[in-house]
Amino acid sequence: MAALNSALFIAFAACLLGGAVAVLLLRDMVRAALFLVLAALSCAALCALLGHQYLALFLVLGYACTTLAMLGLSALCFTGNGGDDTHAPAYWRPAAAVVGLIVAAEVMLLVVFGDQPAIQPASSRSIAKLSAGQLVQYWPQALLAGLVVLTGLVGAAVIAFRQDVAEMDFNAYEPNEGLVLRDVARSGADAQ
Amino acid sequence: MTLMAACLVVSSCLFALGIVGALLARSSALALMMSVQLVLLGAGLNFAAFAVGRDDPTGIVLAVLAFVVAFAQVLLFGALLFAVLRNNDSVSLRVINILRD
Repeated sequence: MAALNSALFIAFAACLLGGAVAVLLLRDMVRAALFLVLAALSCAALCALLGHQYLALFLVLGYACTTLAMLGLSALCFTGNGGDDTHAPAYWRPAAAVVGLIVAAEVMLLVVFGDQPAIQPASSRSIAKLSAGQLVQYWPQALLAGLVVLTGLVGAAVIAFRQDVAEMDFNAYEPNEGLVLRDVARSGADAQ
Repeated sequence: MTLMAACLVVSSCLFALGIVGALLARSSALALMMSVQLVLLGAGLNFAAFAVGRDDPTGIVLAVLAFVVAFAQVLLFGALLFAVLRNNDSVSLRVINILRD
């Protein structure tokens, strides 16, 4: 069993670092995002190997929800009023690969949960041995995490539906000649 | 090498790769976002490894916090980039520089 754990650890660590290097080297950002999700799922597998199945499940579910939110946002932006949807279909295949990866990871984690001896169980460590009373001491962190998630969701919704952000024409400003406060101050001084 | 030490090595490599990517991503905002994701993944894995090594559940709580920050960052940054991409051809950092001094 130890040899199996070591082999699994080496395989997932190689996937994690290889995915990270691919994220940095690939020019195509959609494929880079695919490798980022692969790295995240490898990270979840390493967490499961460490005995933190719940953390791994949280990571996979979080990435699943985030990917679905990104797909929804992209559909909203590319097929909205005046949006350019000519290049959107080219992204569907990598996006489908991302969703397939996440579903495969969820199935793998479910299999792990159903068949505990396959991976070293949480044993007496960590969350498994905590009672409900001990978990209460972490309520500030839980509150902070909830606030961060809420801020992210509300912020993403507000940014997605605000028209003034979408209508900003960044191409109108040349580099270093845009809304630079130094230039505004200089023009004010010249006017005086 | 114990499992914890190996995890610390892997997470440190991941963190360093993310930092290098963030420093090198001078043009693409998406590359910058994904590099920060790598940094947060490395930090979360580091917390999980220390939770095992020290037998302390605080590490798991901190790892959850790091992952939550990563998800919120993806949501906010992604929404901003999609909003910019609607009426602009590019999300290059050389174009989105009107807040730069």
